[in-house]
Amino acid sequence: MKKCDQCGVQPANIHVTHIVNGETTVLHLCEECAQKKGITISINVDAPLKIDRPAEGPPAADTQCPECELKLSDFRAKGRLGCASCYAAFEKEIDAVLVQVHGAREHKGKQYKGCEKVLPRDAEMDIGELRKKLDAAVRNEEFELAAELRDTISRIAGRGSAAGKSEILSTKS
Amino acid sequence: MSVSAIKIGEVPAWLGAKGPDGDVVVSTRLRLARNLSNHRFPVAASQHERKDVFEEVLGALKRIESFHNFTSYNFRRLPRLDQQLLVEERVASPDLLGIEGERGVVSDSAHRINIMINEEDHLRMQCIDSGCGPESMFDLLDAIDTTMGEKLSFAYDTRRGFLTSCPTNAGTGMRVSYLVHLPGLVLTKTADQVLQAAAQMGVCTRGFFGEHAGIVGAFFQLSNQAALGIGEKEFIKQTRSAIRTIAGCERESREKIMHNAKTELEDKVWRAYGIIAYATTLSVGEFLNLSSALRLGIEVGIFEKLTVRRLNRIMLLVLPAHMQAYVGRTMNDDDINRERADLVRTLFKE
Repeated sequence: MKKCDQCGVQPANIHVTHIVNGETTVLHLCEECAQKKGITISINVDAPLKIDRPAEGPPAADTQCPECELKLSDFRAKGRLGCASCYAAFEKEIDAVLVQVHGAREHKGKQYKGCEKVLPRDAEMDIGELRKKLDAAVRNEEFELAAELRDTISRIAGRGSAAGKSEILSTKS
Repeated sequence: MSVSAIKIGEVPAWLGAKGPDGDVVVSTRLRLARNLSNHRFPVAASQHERKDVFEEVLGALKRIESFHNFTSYNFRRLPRLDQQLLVEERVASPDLLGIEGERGVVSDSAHRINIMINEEDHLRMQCIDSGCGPESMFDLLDAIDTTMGEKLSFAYDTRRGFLTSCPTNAGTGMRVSYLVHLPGLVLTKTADQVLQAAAQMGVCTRGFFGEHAGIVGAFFQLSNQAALGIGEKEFIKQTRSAIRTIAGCERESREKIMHNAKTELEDKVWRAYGIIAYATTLSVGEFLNLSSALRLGIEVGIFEKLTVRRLNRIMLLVLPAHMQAYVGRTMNDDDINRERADLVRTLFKE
């Protein structure tokens, strides 16, 4: 296990994430140093997640999920998301939360193969349109938009995003 | 279907005292959280949408043969007392009581497999059984999850895994919890130490009887802290290993106590019996603390008036909703405490 950033002696099992002006830094502390910094460590996994240290930045930027219209400020207050699309809409904040709670940001468990239902024709056309938009976003270096589009495509395409991902990488180069 | 039709006092599987490591681990609970991809999560959904989700999930369950003998309980229609009975039996979570709108749980006859609909997530599939057996429980739940995932469309992302209402559950969506009894560690004042070590092994602790109740009856609930980053079987292995270590420490403390303080322990156990068997008023907390001494007495072979299974049955019957169902009317706390003492006295004489 990593050693504490503060004392360099004890193993660090507390990870404090700071998000300042969109930049994420993580501090790894042992219990003693964390307590000295006033950080308590009893996590009740069933209690609502309260995000105590919101990202600093222009106050006007209260992002909203395009699907369910949940505001980032609501998520921070209640610790609950409104729909699957919130994960892409609030990607940075959620990324920080995942690292804070799980010590990881990527899923390594069960893969979901999708449901038996066949995709309607409309969905296929949508995917085509979305891929064009994705290409444009990547060319224009609008990477946040590109990430959202990638996630939407992978959701509609029924979790075939392993293929989708490599396409994006090849388009990027 | 009304829960009152269920015979009060039949022990759900998790209180059956049959599983491995039963001397320390009372029960294991494994839960998978899932959401439907085409609906807002319960907290953001309208009543109308919740109803759609409820019907969609029930519809899918009805198309799966293995669920044909399950009973479905619609909490919107079920009387409050019946809801509370199900919560006390751990078929449904306390959170399901507080929510509005269409929600419920589908359960098998042993209450071993419980599928909650529209709690914090659209679906919470749970397996709960006595002793420590998460591996076989996972295999069972995994199969149910795969089948359900074919009939319904789950919210999932290859990067973040199964998408849950709260990011603390994202990834595997899995929570594996163990209800453990650690009177040896509590008596030797080593519980904090051992549980802090458990935290370093990825296992977090809380008291069992409600978040705010603290530690009652030396019962602790231990769960995986993280749900994302490694596979489901790895989480199970990790927690299982921590539980094995904790159980080892608990057994060692019990041996130490028996070796160095047997007389004191006997006295503690028999005094607890004296109060439980003769008190005229008993609160739940008091009962749980006293019965913890009896439970320890049974485990170390000092106390033979009861089996663990019978003690478990009594422990369920004395809970508030079960008391009210047994007596047949709603009561205030003082009345419940008197009725409880009467019931316990009767059951201990049998």
